Amino acid sequence: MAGQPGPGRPEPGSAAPPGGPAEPTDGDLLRRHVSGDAEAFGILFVRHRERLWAVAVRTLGDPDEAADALQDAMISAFRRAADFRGESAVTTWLHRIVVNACLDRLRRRAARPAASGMDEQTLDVLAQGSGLAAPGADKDTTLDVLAALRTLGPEQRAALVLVDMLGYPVADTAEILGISAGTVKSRCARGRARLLPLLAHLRGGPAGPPGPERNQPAAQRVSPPEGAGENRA
Amino acid sequence: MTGHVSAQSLARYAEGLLRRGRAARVRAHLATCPQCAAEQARLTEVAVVLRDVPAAPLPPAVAARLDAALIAESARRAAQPAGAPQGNGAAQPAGAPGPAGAGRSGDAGPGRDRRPAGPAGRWRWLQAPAAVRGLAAAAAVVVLGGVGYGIAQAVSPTSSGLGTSSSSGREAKPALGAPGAGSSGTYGLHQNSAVGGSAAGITVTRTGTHYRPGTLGQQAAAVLADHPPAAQGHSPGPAGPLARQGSGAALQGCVQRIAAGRPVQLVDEGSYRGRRALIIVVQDHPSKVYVTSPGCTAAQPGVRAQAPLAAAG
Repeated sequence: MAGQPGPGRPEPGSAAPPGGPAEPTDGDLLRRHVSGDAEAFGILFVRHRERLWAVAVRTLGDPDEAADALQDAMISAFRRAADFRGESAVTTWLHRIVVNACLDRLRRRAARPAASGMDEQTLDVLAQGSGLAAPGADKDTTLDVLAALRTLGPEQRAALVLVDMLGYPVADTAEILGISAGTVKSRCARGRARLLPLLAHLRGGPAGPPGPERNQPAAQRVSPPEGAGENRA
Repeated sequence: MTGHVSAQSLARYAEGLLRRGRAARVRAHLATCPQCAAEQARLTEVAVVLRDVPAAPLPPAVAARLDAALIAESARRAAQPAGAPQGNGAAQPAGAPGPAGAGRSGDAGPGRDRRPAGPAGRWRWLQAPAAVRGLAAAAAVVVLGGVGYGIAQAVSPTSSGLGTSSSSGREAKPALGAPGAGSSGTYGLHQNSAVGGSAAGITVTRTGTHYRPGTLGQQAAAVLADHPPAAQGHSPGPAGPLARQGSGAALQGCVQRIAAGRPVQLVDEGSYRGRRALIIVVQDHPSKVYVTSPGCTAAQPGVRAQAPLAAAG
């Protein structure tokens, strides 16, 4: 699940959920949607929206904007489903649409310097309230990371969010972003180097590997992470 | 190699992006320079810090918004004539990145609003017909024939917090029909009868009340107290300015869509967050207040906010 290091991988090829062979695959659902099934897209989107939310809220750093972006992306995917050619996994395609919606917003934000900065109070609300920080999270760390991420350009930020924050393999990230694996690595490297002076005081971070408490509530059901993380850059 | 290695080079070295000769020199330097070795260790920790930012689940309010938007979109598609292209043609050429696409460089002009239209520009109901917009906010009363058009969706009392807190540029933030974040994926639109069924009779009052997010439930309750359903009377058919101007059918479809089979207690025209709005109260347990736009339709109910009806006063 998104948020853990590693999982959340958009598995290429099959997207069969673990519920059993009776469950339709992502590809099945998308085909059913294109052929007029009124429910298929909803099932498909609910299956992945938790991960997509994790991508959007980290990339944008603003839950409200992330919600807008995710909704835009969802509607876009709904309408453009017929354009899906099956050259990538459905999840990759969905991620691409979401990431592009986020990048659009980041670029617009960059073009509006007056509106680009988020004040401390807003960040505080974000970290405490819904959207960004899990309950009990180290608020200061989260705030520092968010503030630091905002200093990066959209492209570096998107790459770092996918690879470092969400643990997507470089190859999948490359496919989502539509760039080469080398470019993903390069953007991540540059982003980490830029973040270094901003985050140096946080080194060590929360102790130990993330445990289940970092996980989503059990009620959140999305398709499970599969073998991600082993390709972490 | 002279001097220390920059953080950029160290980061690229760690990713294997340096050319062989350069990488060998960095490796040799790291072996002998504690300062750069420490810098490299800190660089590794940046990724760890990023990884350890905790996950926050999809907020229920956002889940509800997405559900409602998807329902509206499904209804829009269902309302299209068979064989019509799924994409919306002119507004979004097939294959183009569309609203979510990157690279629409023309979008980033300096004059753009904080929340540019995006897909909202396609929501026709956003541009309420001038005729509707121009209606006096007097106490005109309109009675609309009912339609049997419902959504088999549980409606959760989602707070209007996150889902509706955006600035005024976007209204397409419905918060209706929320299976909830934890619900299963079964989901969809169920029309239980054709449009144009029973004559339930919907009365639109126009108090011009300025509804506010924090007090929506209380304000609606107060207006409802002044305009109880029983006192409004039922005319036999469509009448009044809205109906005469041809917007009545669309509006009644919208109201019935939002009501989803529940009794409608109040339809009031006023404003919400500074924009003209239609406030709809439906009887439920507890009763719910929905905010939409005067130009709403069944296909685009465009619920902007919802709140439980609060005790008046």
